[in-house]
Amino acid sequence: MKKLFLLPMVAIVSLTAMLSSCGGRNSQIEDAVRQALVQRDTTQARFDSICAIIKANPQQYADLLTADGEINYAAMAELVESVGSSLRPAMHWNVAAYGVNSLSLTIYFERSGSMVPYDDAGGRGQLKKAVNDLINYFPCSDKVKINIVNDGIYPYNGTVDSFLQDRNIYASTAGVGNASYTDFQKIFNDILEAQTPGNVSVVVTDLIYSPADTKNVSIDKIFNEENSLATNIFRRYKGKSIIVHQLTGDYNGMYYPYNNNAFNYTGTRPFYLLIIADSKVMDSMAASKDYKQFLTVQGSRNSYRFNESESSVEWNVVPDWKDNAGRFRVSHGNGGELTNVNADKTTGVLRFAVAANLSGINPDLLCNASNYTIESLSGFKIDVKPLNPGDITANNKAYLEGKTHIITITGDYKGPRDNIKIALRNEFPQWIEQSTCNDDTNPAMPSFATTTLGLSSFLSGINQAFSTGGNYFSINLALEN
Amino acid sequence: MKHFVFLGIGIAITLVFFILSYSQSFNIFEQLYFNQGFNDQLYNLSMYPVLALIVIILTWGAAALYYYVINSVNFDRWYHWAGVLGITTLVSPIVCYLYIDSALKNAGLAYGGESVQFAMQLLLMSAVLFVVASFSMRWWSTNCRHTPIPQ
Amino acid sequence: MRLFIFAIGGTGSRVLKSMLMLSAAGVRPLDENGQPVSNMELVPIIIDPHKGNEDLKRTEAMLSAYRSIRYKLYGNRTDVDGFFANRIVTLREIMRDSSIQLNDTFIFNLSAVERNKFREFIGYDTMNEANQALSSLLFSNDQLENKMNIGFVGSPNIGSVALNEIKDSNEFKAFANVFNQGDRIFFISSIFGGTGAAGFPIMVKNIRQAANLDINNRDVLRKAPIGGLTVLPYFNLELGDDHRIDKADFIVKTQRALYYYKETLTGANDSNLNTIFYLGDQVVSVPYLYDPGEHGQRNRAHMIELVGAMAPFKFAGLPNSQLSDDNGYPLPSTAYEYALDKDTLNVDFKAMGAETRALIYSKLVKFHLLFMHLNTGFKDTIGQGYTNDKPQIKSDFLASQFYRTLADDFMNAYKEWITEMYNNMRSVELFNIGEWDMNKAIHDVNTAKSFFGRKSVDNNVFKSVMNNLSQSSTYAPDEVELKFLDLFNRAADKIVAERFENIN
Repeated sequence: MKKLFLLPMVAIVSLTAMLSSCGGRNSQIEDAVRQALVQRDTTQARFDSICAIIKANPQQYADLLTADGEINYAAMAELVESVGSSLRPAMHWNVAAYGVNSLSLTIYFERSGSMVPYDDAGGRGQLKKAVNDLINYFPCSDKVKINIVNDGIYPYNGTVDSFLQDRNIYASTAGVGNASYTDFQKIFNDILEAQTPGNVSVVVTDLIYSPADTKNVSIDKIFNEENSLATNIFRRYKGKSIIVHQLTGDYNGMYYPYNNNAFNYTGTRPFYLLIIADSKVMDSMAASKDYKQFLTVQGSRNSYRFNESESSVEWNVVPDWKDNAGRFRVSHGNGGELTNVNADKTTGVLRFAVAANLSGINPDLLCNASNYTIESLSGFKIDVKPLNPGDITANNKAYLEGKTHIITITGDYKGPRDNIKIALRNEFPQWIEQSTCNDDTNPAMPSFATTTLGLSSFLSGINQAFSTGGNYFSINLALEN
Repeated sequence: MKHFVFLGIGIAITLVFFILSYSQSFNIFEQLYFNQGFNDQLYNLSMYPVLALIVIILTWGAAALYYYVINSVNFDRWYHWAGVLGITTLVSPIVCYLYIDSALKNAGLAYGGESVQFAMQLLLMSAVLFVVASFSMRWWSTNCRHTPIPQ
Repeated sequence: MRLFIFAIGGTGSRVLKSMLMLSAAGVRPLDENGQPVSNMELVPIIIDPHKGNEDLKRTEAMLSAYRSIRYKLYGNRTDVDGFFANRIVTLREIMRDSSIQLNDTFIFNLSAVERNKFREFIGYDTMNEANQALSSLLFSNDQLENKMNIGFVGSPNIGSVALNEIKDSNEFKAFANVFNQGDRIFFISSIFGGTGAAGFPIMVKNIRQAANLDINNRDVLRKAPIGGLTVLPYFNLELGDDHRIDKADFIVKTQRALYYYKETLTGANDSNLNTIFYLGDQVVSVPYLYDPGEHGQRNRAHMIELVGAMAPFKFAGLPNSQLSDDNGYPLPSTAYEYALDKDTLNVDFKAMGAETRALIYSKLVKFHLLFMHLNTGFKDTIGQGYTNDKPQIKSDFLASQFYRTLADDFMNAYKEWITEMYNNMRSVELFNIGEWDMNKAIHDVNTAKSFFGRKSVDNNVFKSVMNNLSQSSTYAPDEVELKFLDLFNRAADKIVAERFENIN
């Protein structure tokens, strides 16, 4: 009898034990991350304290460390993302960005015949300046390597310092490789092949495709070939992101058009910096203040980021927002589902706010609703505004933390259900077309100073390889009564 | 045998209650009362399982107290049991409220009214769990096994 | 073993009543090892021509009540423990030969005797003159005119003549028929009255001389172990002018009878009677109202009867070796006397000897607690605790025949019995009469000491212990009555042992 009396007690105790035994191998770290997120203490100091726990128990947390005992930022980012997505609203903490301190930079300096005049002693030296800036603004200055490319990739045989101080880089690298043609196929293949995780590669080039033996080959054929090879190369390397910067530099020397009837040209010519990295590394850099100057590049006239997919924009519905009208409930675990949705009883209007972090996207596009595509049955309309710090209260802080914009969605919702798709269109930029020419044999044409032969063929080839779907980001919302 | 079935069902119900306190999509604490911001905070601060545990321990504890510690012929009427039910039903939400209130204050949040309303639903849950606990463990009580209703 | 108990006369009935009370309390005959005698059946046979005798009526009513209560509890089972443990049966109930006409009663049918005056019974009017003269010499005129349905009113000379006819009765034949090897016979009678004093030797003689009778089992009867309780004068009569039983006669009659017994029953070489219990007290009772008539003989229960009631139990527990020789022939008489531990006028359990206490203390205390519980707590318990365990004791239990018989008929008789003994001389004060607090129920026995003062005993304690016992007990659906009394009995065992001072 006495034993039986213990039975219900045992049941309770075992229940308690069940609670304490919950969680996986990394539960301690997950808890720490969760705490940091909930307390909104997503600072690097806090991250470092978590890393300290991991490093103190290398055996237990082997899967969060690299082979050489350093923090595996990719694994940490994954863990943080999984914890953050279980919160309400889902929270994000770009810990991968902390890993940017260990990034390396490799400069690929094109040394083809038509590149030499960019660094002419008489010019203003914009090209060298741009490359020097890249090196100078790269935070991990001790991890910079320089290569010379033309028909192949050749290491620069000086130091970074000597490169920076070199007044005529083409003179000092004369005789490296074969400067008479640039084999994009080989170069990009080799660059992408050689890129290790955490490496940022920058190709300094005029983006003029000049394969060997183009004599008597039609220009269209060359463009098509260029387009195909771009697609072909970049399709092979998944998860890459490329930022193309267009700059203009003084040009003084021989220009070699596609028909090889070289002529002397003095004036300005566009040149390009292609920053190539893993998408995540690129995102991390975009989110890091330290890389701001590195990524934006002084003197950039136009730029465009090629991504394999849409950017994953952080966003969530804000339940506690001053302009909300009607009632709804955000379904947990999937922020895009609103249940128990009812429009305002008197006006019939449903209005709710979505907070989003749009910091990585061109701000000029963001606040103009006409840049967005909105699909819904009820004809919802949106209004996008930057987040005003005065709108943040103690209770909605959690939903606005880390967000830059408020997207207010308004419509006459009658139910019983609706799907809203909001997308910021990512159209192939106009400037690429405008910077493209099909004939570079006549320097007298006014566009010669601003256009590049076959530019759009090459870049659209990359674009096709990444097949972005045409949007920077999209937000999908499912509503039901 | 029948009594062990009751105990098993009682433990199962309690476990389900506990598991549902963890649940994202169908959370037991969000069915009767829901205020997005408030409930999200409770969820984020991992308070649901703690609340569930408080309710479980208080209700099972009160039932155990009644059936095995008090366990007296002086308190074996249905209204004595109902008294313990009443006290438990009141105490459990109050304890939970105090816990929520202090935890939210520590987190710098101000959800006074919501906390009270939330605690109201615990009246029902505590009552139900006390009944569940009672019918799980009463069978082996010497003096109160027929309380509140005869076997 | 069957013990045939012939209770003769008013004293027989009263001792039988005490025996019934002890049996109800669960007192059972114990053998020399202290174990209950197995397969025990008591067959009381009341012999009293005075049918209007109130003591006889009371005893008979209680026998019926006892029998119905016990049947409900245990059916025909023997060897049970608890309240109403001893199986008590009528001759009719155990009779195998159905050719003998017999009423299902404990009372010996003396119809031949009862109807007549004594002169008619002996055919005085048809005697010749010489015999009439002799009869007149032996019997006074009063005695000849005596109507015998009021008994033999202290006249053993009448009784001896009248009761000699018993051997020809159906009852005697039935008794002889069912008597088996191993059964025993016990007589309860007073030595100073009419019926008992005369009936006892005559009955013994008839049994021992069974060889001459036309009955079955003659040989077995001849060898049967026979015991007897002879009660010496213990009560007083209120003085009056016209009464045929005279206290002053008691001593003389007793003296003569003892001489007679010595010659016929208990002599050194006489093996008619194996065991004789002599019981008497120099302290005389509160005077009884003398009433030989139709309302008569309703005497207060007395300690002597309580002590006397233990005699048949003692006899039933004696080993065969003390009663028969190796060939099965009865051994000569052994006489027993009884003494109190303390010679006091207020007899409580502590005044009794250790053997008595061991036999009756806990049983009577338990029965008294049952009596108190039925009067103060049981009704409120229904619908709670153990009463809800299957089989359930519902409120209709209170209206059942069983409960009425137990709680009203039997318990009222019990209350009357202990009250009468208390009000008598010596006063038997086993319990504090009129006290309903269980803690103070037993006279001069406190509840046991505990860390916080004294332990308490009340209805709730009983309820709690019974709840506990009921948890591990199972009873058949038709055993509601047994469940209640069995649980109470076991609970009381525990409570008496653990919560009262130990006086043994």
